[in-house]
Amino acid sequence: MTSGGQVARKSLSLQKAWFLTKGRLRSLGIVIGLIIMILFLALKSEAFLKPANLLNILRQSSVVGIMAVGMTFVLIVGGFDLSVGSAMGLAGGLAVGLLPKIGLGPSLLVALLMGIVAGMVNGLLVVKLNVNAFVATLGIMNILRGILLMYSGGKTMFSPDRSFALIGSGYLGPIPIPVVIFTVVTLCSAFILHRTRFGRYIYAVGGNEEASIFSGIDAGFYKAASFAIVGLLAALSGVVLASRLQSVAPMAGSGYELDAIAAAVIGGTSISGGQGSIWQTVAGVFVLGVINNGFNILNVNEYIQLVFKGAIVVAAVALDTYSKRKT
Amino acid sequence: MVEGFTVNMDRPLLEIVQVSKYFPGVKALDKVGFSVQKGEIHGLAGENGAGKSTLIKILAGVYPKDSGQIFFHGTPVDFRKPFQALSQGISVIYQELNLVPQLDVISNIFLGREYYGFLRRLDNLKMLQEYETICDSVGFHFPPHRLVRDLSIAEQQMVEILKAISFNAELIIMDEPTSSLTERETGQLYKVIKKLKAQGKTIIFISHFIDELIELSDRITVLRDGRYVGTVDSRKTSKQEIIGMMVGREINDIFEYSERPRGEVFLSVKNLSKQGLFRDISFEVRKGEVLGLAGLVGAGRTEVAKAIFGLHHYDAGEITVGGKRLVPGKAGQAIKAGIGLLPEDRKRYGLVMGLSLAKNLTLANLRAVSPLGVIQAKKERDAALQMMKALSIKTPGLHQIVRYLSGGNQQKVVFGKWLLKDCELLILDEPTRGIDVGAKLEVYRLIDELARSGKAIILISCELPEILGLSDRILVMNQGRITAQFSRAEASQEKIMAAALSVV
Repeated sequence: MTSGGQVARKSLSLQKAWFLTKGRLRSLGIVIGLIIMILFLALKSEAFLKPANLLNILRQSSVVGIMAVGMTFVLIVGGFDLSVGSAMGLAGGLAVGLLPKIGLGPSLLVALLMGIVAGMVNGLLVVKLNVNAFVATLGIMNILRGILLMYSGGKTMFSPDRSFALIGSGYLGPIPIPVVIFTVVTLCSAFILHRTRFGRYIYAVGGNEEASIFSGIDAGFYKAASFAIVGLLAALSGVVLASRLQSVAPMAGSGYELDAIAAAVIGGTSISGGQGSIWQTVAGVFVLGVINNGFNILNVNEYIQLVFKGAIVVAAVALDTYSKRKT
Repeated sequence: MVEGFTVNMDRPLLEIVQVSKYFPGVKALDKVGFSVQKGEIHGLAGENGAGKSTLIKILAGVYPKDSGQIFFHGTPVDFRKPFQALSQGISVIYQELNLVPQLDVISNIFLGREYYGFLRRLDNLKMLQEYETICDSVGFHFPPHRLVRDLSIAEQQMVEILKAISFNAELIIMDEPTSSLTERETGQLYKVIKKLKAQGKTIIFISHFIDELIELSDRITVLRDGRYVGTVDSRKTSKQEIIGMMVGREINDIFEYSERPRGEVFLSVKNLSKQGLFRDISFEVRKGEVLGLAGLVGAGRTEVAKAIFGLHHYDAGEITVGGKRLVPGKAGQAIKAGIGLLPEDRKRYGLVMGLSLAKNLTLANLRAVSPLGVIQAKKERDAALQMMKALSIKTPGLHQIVRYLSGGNQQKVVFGKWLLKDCELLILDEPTRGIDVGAKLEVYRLIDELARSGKAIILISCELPEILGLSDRILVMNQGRITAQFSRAEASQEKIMAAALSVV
């Protein structure tokens, strides 16, 4: 096997070149775009690069970021989840509503468990009953929202609890706790998705479900598990949001599912599955966060933000599809 | 239409000059040139991968050609979109029919070209009248309002032909129209084709059945490995001549068989039946043996393979591996028992096209390189590298996305996937489909080596020379049943074809 070593070295040098191949450039595009945006805003406004502002961007991005990381799993496995915004709201509602009765720890646990169960229901609908993911999660979205409305009686729920408020407003040293949670979630997810067998199977099932089954992979399990993961992370982001606002409005979390999908898609995760990565999604989250923050700093009309965000999502997907068709 | 081109009347209707087409890693067409006379039925023959489909897709405007010229009515044409070819009078009837199943016959025929009356209301009467005219011209009638999904394949094909005529097509290209028809339906199709010819239409007819080509066509052009071999007059040629042109070399010329030692029985299948797919299938495969499974497309070979691999449930019978019975419908279990399947359609079932070479290679055996669920990058790379070298997969590197490999190399990746798993039995379903001759030879040698190393192999192939050249024993399937069994010494193309075609 002496020649084996030579081949290995040779392929290592090839790996460097591989980093600059077309697909890679496309995924680096998002980072380049982000840097350009940051440079632009730094030139336009002195306030932008101040540490306080940057931390602010990070904290604001954390809530949607946690959910977007979860969404990345579902999108890569070839699914789609519209119910996460409602799951987010309900999780916050459960945490706030149960806290006075059963205490902080148990109420958080119930909220997170609800997220996992909601995700599993989505997964079973999609895998076992073959309901289209879009439709299944649309139904669950309404059901979860309805449960929150019933539970809260349609009124905003408030939480005066100081320790609960720490989750959203506290600091670990100089770092806001939501940012810490987002970072931990990101690192764990990146490890699972990129370094474990579980993660590899998620890519394989999303890339070609039939070939995965032909290779002996239980495709249904990995799809259902992805829905459970996004459910859990949606609930977690709901808890963080509720804690930060110390309240849960009846429509809390509504619209977040679309921001999460937008972030993943801007990052280059394919809606048709099999493609994407955690760090790309995180880049997408920051793009959205920087846009939010930048528009506020520059005092640009808030409504135009939506137009701009929408355009970026469409442009990112169009670019992705176009570059695929060309090769 | 034709009147405008009277100047060119003595030129052929269609001239193909030095047309080439490349796909990543494959030269699909290499300077192909021949011509088709007006009013003739021109047969097109060649093995799978000879370039027939690519050529007609270029004529139809589906693919652009990379170089060369095409003259239609003596005028150079370069179709970039299918409707350009259609509007010039070239209609293609593909193997996979392009009809909307939920619509009725007449709506399909006028799809996109509906007649409108007052206030853009559909002018159903006018369409119906034209429909009748078209039907009259070929001499058969369908109820115009039957839904296409309720029609048989043969009937759907007729609808496609009607549609082509309604486009005023002068050149109608048919890609293996008889491959899924019964004998009676085939006869009807012949009549229609001859009628079309009598009306001055020109037909290019692609078929795998040589007898059919000789009977039906005026002239036959043969392609091989993307090259033009020759055009012969049907009245002056013979089946042997055309087969000789198609094959070029016998597999025996490129691959030499020698006796292999056989081991114990690895797999045994007893009385396996599944309603409508296969019936009473029994056979055994030994280690070190290549068992050829011959038969026509649709004879049930792929279905049996899938049943063995645990992808199909079956109604009766049993499958045992090393004395242990396999539970039906569990692919995971079949894989554990040491069975690997190279599926017929490797892009759809064999590979995750968007993943890298290394990731595809380790897909079925990921457990071995991820003991605790965490993938050990070095182990994975070593395993993939070892396979890449052993199979001499040509690639810029382990991280090359499989989509960009050539067909032959892709197939080697699927082989590698199962070899890494250390399978004892490999079921190869059309292992050389769509790969070029050089790669075919490598696959043959690989199959031989695997058998020699003690693996059991079931080889399913439509190419008889391949089955004859590689197998130790040959089973023939016909309409879901095993109709013949031959040893290597007994087998011949004629015997196999007779068993594959006979009416059960």
